Order: sequence, then structure tokens, then C-alpha cells
Amino acid sequence: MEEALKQESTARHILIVDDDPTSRRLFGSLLGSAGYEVIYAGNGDLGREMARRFHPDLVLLDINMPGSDGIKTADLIRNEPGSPAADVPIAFLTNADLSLEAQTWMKEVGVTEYIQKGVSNEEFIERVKKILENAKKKSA
Amino acid sequence: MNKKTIVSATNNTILKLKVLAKKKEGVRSKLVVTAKKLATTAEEKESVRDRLVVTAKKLAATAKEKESVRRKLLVTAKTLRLKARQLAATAKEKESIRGKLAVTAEALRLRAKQLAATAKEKESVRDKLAITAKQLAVTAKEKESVRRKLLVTAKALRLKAKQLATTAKDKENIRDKLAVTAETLRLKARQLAVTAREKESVRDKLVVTARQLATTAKEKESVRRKLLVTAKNLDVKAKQLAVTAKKVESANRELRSLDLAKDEFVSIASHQLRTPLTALKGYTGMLIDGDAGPLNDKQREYLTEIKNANDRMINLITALLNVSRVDLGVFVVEPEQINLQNVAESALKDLELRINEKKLLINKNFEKDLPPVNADLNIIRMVFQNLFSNAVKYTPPEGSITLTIKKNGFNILISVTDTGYGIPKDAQPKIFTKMFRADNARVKDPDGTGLGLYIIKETIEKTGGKIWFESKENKGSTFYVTIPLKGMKKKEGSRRLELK
Repeated sequence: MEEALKQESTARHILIVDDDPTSRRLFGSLLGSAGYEVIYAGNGDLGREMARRFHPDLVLLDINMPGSDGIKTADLIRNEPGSPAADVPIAFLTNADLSLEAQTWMKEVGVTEYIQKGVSNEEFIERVKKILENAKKKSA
Repeated sequence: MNKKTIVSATNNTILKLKVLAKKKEGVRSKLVVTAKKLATTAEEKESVRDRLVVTAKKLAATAKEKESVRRKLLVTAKTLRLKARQLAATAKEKESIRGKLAVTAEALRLRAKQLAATAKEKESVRDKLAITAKQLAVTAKEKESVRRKLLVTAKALRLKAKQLATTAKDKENIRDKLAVTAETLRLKARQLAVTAREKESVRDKLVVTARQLATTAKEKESVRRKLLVTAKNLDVKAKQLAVTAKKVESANRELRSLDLAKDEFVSIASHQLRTPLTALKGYTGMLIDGDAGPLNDKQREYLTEIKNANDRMINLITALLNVSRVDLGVFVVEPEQINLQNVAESALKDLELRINEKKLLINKNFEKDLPPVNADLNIIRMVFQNLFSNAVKYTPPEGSITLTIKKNGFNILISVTDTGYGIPKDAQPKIFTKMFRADNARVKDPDGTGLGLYIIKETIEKTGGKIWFESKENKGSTFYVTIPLKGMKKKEGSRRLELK
């Protein structure tokens, strides 16, 4: 029983926030086959709610979303006063066409990690592993 | 004689003998003393004689030394006499020098007087400078505060400048569009001129009509009616002109927003196109990896075809994006110290598989002591990737590719020579244009985008370099690229160029 509970608690939960259902399904499948538990949100506000409620181990935020885009959502998760999800690790999902302006905004909001959407499957999983490791080191 | 006298005489004689004995004794003692004295004296004489002998010997030695010393002294005397003569000469020189020094001393005394005067002047100047220094110190403080204020202003201005730069670009585009609009307006003006002529003819008619009015009242009446009709026509025309003016107005607005939209279009199109392509790449990758179960050979073959076609599309979109960044001039140039040889080697390594498959010979000539150059890493990588991939693609098996990097005047010259199919003469002028692919290239590599050379030509030329080639069909080609030794200039922009 204890072993099973321990197993449960070591499963990593990842929240994917992306307005495009194809992307959500694609990255969800990739992460699922790599052994992660995945939850989804289709827009920034919902993403914020789910981050607050479920405290995932990592939030993957698409930048180009209508309404609250990735940057704004990250800003609210990080910096809203009294936000219970302020310490949740966040990484942006970016196109390779990331403008230099967006890179500056990323830094301003306090998110340093990002994964390009165009990388190979192996590299995607590697990046996620690395980001989770770095997040563990920071909180340790 | 009696006994008495004999006895007295003998007593006297004994007395005398005793006295004599005493005297003898005395004398003997004296003699002994004297003998002792003599003996001592003799010893003393002996020792003295010894001493005298020693002394004599010493004197002899001393005499010899004296002799040699005397000889040495003679030599020294001669030397001294020579020295004396030299000193005499030196003394004369010294005399003359002393005379000159006396003159110099006089001159120096004069100089000293002059310097004393100058020193006084200097003193007064120094006092004045002290005052000026204090004033400058005050001014310096004021300058400092002004400078700080200016720094703040400078920062604000820099921000403004950046904003203005983007506004300037927009204005540039608008100006171009307005030029087009101006043409349209000119056409309209001609139309208006025609309308004006029509008006003119109408006016003429009116003049004629007016004359006619002078004659008959009936004619006046019909003329008055005609005038009414003409007036209405003019009204309609005026309204039409107003409508046309509004159309020109909105056409302008449309052109302006179209231009702004054009910039956005490229980004949005790439985003919209990339998402499904990424999904394709991801899912085919998972299928090929067996994540959804084992594949049979046909399935694997078809999936590989899909993956390759997808990769080609992704490459084409990347290339098109780079073309748009280059054409819009929004690409960044971030120069850093680069070792060109290393970038070239790494680009060659990426093509290792193909090179080995085709058994191509690779030659490298790097000039000794090549300096590192300040250049944008992405641009340099693209140049090497492009030139090498072309050389590898268009050279038949067992051919060779030669890379040379050397200094040439104020530039670094890179050349890539292949023993390939070459570029046909009629295709050569269009090699660097967009989408141009010579027929023989299309046969050899149907997958190429045709944009690579255009992109590297634009980026190299916009960063101070040059690119050109020499080629002979079926003999081979050599592409040359120069990069200025002083490096590429940093260029602000909103997008980085993308590598594959």
C-alpha cells in the first residue's frame, strides 16, 4: 500500500495550456507515453485556474493564445498577490519564429525556460526532463 | 836573635800574610766578579755580535730591496715624468675649457636672470590659474549635474528614437503606397480634366444660349429650361466627384492597413502553417518509433515518405520566413568573435553521411594565423551549410570539394570549389534570385527550396560582404564569399534568421 502510494506521489503532473487542440493532443500523447500525467486547459484563464487548483509539477504555456496570451497568464500566475500557484514551475511553448520582443517579455515576467514546438519528439521529452530537474534544484 | 823577635817577626809576617791573604781574597773576589763581568760582557758581546750579524744580513737584504725599489722608483719616475707631461697638456686643455666655461657661466648668469623674470611671470599666471581652477571646479559641478540630467534625457531619447525608427519604417511603406495612390489620383485628375472639358463645352453652350436669349423670349424660355437641366447635371457630377473623393480616401486607408497587415501576415501564416506541420512531425515520429505498436515494412516505408515530405515543407516555410525577414529588413545581426574554421568544420560534419556515401574527397586550406572575425553566427552557419550542401548535392560520386579560407586585402575570403555538374551559362545570371533552380539542379535535387542562395546573398551583402561564383558546365563551380575584417555591424531587428 505504502509502495503504491509512493509510486502515485512520484508521478509528475504536467498542465498543458494551448488554444490549439491538435497541439494539446500531440504534446499530451508525447508526455503520456513518457510516463507523465497530463491535464489540459484551452485558454489562459482556465489555465490559471487549473494551476491554482491542482498545483502541477510543471505548466507548459503556449504564448500565442487569444484573450489572455501566454505572457499575460504567466504574469498573473507568478505575480498576482496572494496567488497560491506562484511557485509552480512554468515553461513557454514557442514557435521558432519567436520575436526578440517576446523574449524580452519572457524575461520581464520571470520565466526563463522555453521549449520550441518544432523540435523532435526525443528532444521535447529531454527538455521537459531537464526543466523538471532544474525546478527541483531550485526548490531544494 | 831571640825567639821573641822571631816570633814577633813571624807574627808580623803571619799578620802580613793574613793581610795579603785577605787582599788576595779580596782581589780574587774582585777577579771573580771581574771574570764574571767579563764572562757576561763576553756573552753580551757574543749576542751583540750575533745581533750585528743578523742586522748585517738584514741590512744586506734591505740593501737589495732598496736596490730593486730604487729601480722601480726609476721606472715610476719615468712614468711620472710622462704623466706630468700629459697632465701639462691636460692642464692646458683644462685652461681653455675653463676659459669657455667662464663664457658659458656668463651666459648662464644671464639666463638665470631671464628665468628669474619668467618665474615671476609664471607665479602671477599660476595665481590666475588657481582662481580659474576654482571657477572651473564650480563649473565642473554644474556640468556634472547637467550631464546627469542629459543622461536621463538621453535614455528617454534613445527609447523615442527606437519608437521613431519603427514609425519611420511604417511611414516609408505608407509613402510607397501613397506613391501608388498618387498615380491613381493622377488618373482621376485626368478624368476630372475630362469632366472639366465637358464643363467647358457646357459653358460654351451656355454662352451660345445666352446670345440666343438676347433674340427670342421663347428661346429664352427653352434656354432657361435647358439651363435648369444643365444645372441638375452639374449637381449630379459634383456628387459623383464627392463619392470618388471618398473612395480614394478609403482606398488610402485600406492600403495603409494592408501594409501593416502584410507584416503580420507572414508571422501569422507561419504560425498557422507550423502548428499542423509540428503535429505531423510529432505523430509520424511516434508511429515510426513504434509508440503505437510494431510496424510492417510497407507501413514504415510509407510513414518515412510522409515524414520526408513533412520535413521538406518545414524547410520551405523556414526558408520563406527568412526571405520575408530579409526583404522586410527586420532580421537581427548580432556579431560575436567567431572562428570561421570551426563553423565550417561543424557544417561539414553535418554532411558527413552524404559525403561518405558519395565517397567525396574534402580538401581544407586554412591560411595560418587567421584572425577571428566579428560576425553573426547564424549568418555564417547558413553560408557554410548552404555552400557545402550545394557542393555535395551537385558533385558526382568520387568528386572533390575544396574549402579555402584566407585573408584578402581588407577581407576574409572564403571559397568552396567542387568538381560537380557546374551551372549552365544561361542559368548563371539568375542563380541568386528567389526560387530559381537551374534545370540540371532540379534533376539532381528535386527537394531544394531554391531560396538558399538568395538568402545568403542578401544577408552577406547587407552586412558588408560580397558573394559571387565561377562555373563551367560539367567541370565544376567555385563560390566566393568575403567578410570584412573589421567585422559585421550590429543591427537591431525584431526577428532572428532561422537555421534548418
